[in-house]
Amino acid sequence: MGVPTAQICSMKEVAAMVGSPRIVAGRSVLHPTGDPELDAEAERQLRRTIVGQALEALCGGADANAA
Amino acid sequence: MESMRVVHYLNQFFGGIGGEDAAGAEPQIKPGAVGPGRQLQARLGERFEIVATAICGDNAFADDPAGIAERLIALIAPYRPQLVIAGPSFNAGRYGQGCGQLCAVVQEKLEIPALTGMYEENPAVEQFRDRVLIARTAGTARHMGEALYSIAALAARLARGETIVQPAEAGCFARGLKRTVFRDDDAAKRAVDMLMRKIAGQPFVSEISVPKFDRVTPARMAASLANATVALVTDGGLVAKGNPERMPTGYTDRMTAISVTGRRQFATDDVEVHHFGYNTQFVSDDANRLVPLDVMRDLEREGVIGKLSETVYSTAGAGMSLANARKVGREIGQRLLQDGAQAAILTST
Repeated sequence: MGVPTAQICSMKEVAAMVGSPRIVAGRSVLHPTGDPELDAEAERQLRRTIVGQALEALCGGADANAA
Repeated sequence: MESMRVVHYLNQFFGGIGGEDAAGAEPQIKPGAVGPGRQLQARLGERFEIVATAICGDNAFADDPAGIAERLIALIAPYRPQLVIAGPSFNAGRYGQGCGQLCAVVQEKLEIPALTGMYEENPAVEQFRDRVLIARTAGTARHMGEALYSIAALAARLARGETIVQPAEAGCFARGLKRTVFRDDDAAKRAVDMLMRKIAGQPFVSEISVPKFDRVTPARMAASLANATVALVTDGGLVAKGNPERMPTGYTDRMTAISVTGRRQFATDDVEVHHFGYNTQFVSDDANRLVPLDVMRDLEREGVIGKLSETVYSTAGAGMSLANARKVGREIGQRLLQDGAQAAILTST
């Protein structure tokens, strides 16, 4: 028995090449779940959106790569 | 010219002791060539002499690889070999382990070359190819003749003191060593030549070997999200404040466990980021940009997820070898299962 995973990353092609089953786009290599350009509230909302996509991907089958 | 003294290693089956029923056979040695060793002797020719054949059962070897290798060395040494040849083991897992282990220990303890032969999917290839010269063979003993031919050809090259620069052409697995070689054309011309051949549908050989990645059947969610314990994992180099475990910034074979019990978010007095592969400034300022602890706590409180797993696992995925990545991945997977995590979100930089 394994643990289902979703990966938040920016280099999506690399993740796909090595066989990562559920891939969600992060904001940037430098800050996958945030963005220093945004104000605190907007950044938190962005993070929530990205994490939400990862959770959605987790509930789907493999290779159902979200956003 | 005096011939080179060779000790050959075989398992219980090829050594003529018995089949699976004899897989527990203890290490033993017989003078001269045995079984496929006679054919090997014929392939090797007069420049080599198989002076003895060491034999051990596959199960006995697999149960205590280090101990058995040591006992075999003690049996082999008195024959004063200049080369040890093991197998070939084709696609046989336990036999391959034994051959690889023995060759590695022979080189280390007796300080003489050792050589074996295996099929590319034998797990022992990945385990030993960086240390042991392994001839490429087919998958089954039906191809014994060809396998012995390849092994004998490699033995001849070793005896001549040759350095193998092109493993593919020599019929063996790459040990992953890098050597400087001189080429007539520069890299740009070679690359364009390759491209032209590719476009024309002609064969070409890339100068970059692409590692083979495992294909793992992905797990599925067993519980609904609202009942699941979800864990956070990162390869972005998150460490506890002050880096107490002295986690390296890359080239590592380790991971670190960071407890988030009682934390609603990461603050700069809790954690740091150590990773040589990217500018860590933005995630050092706010580690939630790397591992979304604050949002996961919100989702936990709101009941979107059942629970956040209280330990975050982290490593620095920079310059990490495939073998180390497998090891670290396996460790994190085991820890997640122990923690009762039913899903994980991995963040990568």
